[in-house]
Amino acid sequence: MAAGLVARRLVQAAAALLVVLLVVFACLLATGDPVDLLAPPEASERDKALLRRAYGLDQPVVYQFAAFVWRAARGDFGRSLFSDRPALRLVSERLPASLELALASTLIAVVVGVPLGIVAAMRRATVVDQLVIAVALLGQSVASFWLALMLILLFAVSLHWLPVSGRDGWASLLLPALALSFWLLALLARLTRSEMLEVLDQDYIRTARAKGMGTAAVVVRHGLRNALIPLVTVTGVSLGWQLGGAVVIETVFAWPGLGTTLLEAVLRRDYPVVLAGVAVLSAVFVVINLLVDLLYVYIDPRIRVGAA
Amino acid sequence: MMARIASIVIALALEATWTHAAPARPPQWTVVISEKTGGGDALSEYGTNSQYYLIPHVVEPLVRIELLPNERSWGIVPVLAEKWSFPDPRTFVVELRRGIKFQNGEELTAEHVKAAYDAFVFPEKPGRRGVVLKALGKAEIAGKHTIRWSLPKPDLSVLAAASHLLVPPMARHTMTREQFEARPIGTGPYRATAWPVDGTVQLEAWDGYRGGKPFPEKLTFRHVPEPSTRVFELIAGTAQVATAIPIESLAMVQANPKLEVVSLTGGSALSYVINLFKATPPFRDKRVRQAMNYAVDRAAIVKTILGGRGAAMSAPLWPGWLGASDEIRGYPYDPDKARALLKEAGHPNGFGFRWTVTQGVFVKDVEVAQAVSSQLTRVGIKATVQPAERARILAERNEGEYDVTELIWTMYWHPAILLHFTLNASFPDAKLTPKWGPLPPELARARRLMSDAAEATTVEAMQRAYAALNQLMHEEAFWLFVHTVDSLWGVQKDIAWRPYPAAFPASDDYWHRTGRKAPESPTVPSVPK
Repeated sequence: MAAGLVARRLVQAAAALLVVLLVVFACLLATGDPVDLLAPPEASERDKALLRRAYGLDQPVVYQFAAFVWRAARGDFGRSLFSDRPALRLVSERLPASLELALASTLIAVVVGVPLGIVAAMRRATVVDQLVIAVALLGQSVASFWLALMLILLFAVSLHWLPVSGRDGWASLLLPALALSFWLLALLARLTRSEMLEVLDQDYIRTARAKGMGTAAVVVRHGLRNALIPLVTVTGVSLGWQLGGAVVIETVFAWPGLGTTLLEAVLRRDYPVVLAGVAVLSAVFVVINLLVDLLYVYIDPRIRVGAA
Repeated sequence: MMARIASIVIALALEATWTHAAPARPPQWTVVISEKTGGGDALSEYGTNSQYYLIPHVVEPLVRIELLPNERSWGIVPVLAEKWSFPDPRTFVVELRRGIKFQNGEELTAEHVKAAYDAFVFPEKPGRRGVVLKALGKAEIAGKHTIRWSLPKPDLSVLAAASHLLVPPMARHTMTREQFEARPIGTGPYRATAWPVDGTVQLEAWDGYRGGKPFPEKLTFRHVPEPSTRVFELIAGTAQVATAIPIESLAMVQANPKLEVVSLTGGSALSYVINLFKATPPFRDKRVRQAMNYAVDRAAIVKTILGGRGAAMSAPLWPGWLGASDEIRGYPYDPDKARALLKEAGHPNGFGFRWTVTQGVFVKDVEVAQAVSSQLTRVGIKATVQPAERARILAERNEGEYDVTELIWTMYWHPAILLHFTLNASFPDAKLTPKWGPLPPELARARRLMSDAAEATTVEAMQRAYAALNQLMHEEAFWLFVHTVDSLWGVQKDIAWRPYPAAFPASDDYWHRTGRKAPESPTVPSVPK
């Protein structure tokens, strides 16, 4: 059954990917001719025509898209218009840094945010609860740009504990991961709190307590497990977003990730890199969604695989 | 015995005193730069300007554009070339220096230059350097150390183009580009120890450099796009030099006793090209364009928005450029005169126009545009400022579909490229004439002067032609002239680094390389008074 789910999801993903690529391709075309940016100011019309021919930009649009899809299906996304390097390689070189950052920040958010939410729910209407709510509010309202700079100022400039920027070992990962995690951490804390408040009022929790189970066992085994579905959903979506959307954090920390590479490619109309990036990110999203679906089944066996 | 001990004690004391007076400069510098590092191979394009100032540390050009040793003006300085000549207006001959070795042991010959030239000019996809270099025409080897170009037309500006001709060893042509760009080889003062594409570049001083070992011993370049982070790298002591320091961070750098702000005056400039073709808005009328120039308070903009790190300008070329003149009197801030000129031109109530500018691409681009717009409003001219993506601005310019559009350019000495871009590419006649009538006569005059400059047979004649063109563009108010802005670096004081006035200043101690003493003042003028 799980294999069927995976197969179905993959077929859906392939169709979705094709549509996404078509939309992105059309949007890029609408922004104008990449040769305007590619050619130096002193380039003649002949130079520009040569460039268009070299990159196949002189072909009809439909042909360009069809040729792209045909090549992409065989793993060839063409070459960057600016660096003339294989687009897929450019993207895949950046993917590990993005994965590293996204996973680390998600881990921090889950490890800190979920327990905070549980504690707040268990200590409802106390100072602890208010503190957690305040932290969550701050986490969701503070600008990541500002937070990142403050973290650098404190831990790198004043205390000299961590490097200011760059990607050079685990120490350089901490600050960007922390800065990136704060929003998700706050969201998870709030979500966990509200879900737990709902779950902790259920009859089966009272029953578990009446059976003499310890608080930790009640909270984790009966409470948290039943509150996990929305948390997993949010975490999965956020993880996907962080892979390509952490542009601000990547910029502040000079982190060589996918977000800045894609943004730059969009601004330069570097079609092959944008399309390769979108394809890779879409594929990662599909995998994450698939894992989330499978996790649902594990967390709540009442959910059948076919219905997931 | 006592005398010997005493002399040792005195010697040690003297050494300690000397060390105290002149602390050693750190031999390893990290430079955090605002643009991606690209790859180490000039033959492949990465669309990043950093390639223009990083690669020449390793792979040198034939000539360089910089402040001449007499420190009175900018010009062409030989690097791999020893001398050059134009035996006739269509022939350009370069004699190479003898005995120059590449870092892999090859000896520089004309063959290297021809191979590099052909690789730049005749690739399948023309690159940025190739487009400039092709003005040189056909290259021929005329001797072991002599190379001759047959120019397609008489053109002295090929001297400037030769600054783009970086020469790798013959080994480059048997290596894949990936191999070469990861470990470029040249004749330059530094050897590359690591050059991952767009990654951290590591260079070390080359013992075999003909001018002696450069300083510092190690140079590392890291791309840090966020300006605040570059400043933090300086304050944390993890970088020695930070490029493109934002105006708002200058106070923070200056407040730190270990740091200083180093500047090169007139590094780049901002103005606005007016679409001279258009009768609506009434830009065909010189009085209208002049009114716009009189309406702008440049001094206030430089003082308040740029923190004094710039200068007002009223002509395309400023000191350092070929054809610049101190004699051009600027447009003073005179709103009454602006109103009078508008009235005289038949627009007593002003007019409106659309104005595209970039956002965050150039120093304070939007802030300056808003200030200029507000000053224009005071004389009745209503400018609708539209921040736009750079790509869109370029596309509009190529189509002639603009009223007023932003122009940013950097110091380069030879104005051919700048003027071609603004007098030809910005006015696509074929598209504009059907809508707006024939070429405006002042633009035709400007193009004639540009042709005169291109056909000049001496640098002096070329200078005169550009000076006349500069004067014409000022008088006819071709642009809404605004300001120059200094190039700014944040620097650790203990490295005592000063930029050498050049089109692409080197990041090592270039003053030391030229055997001259760097200025003590952190403000380095493009051209010393």
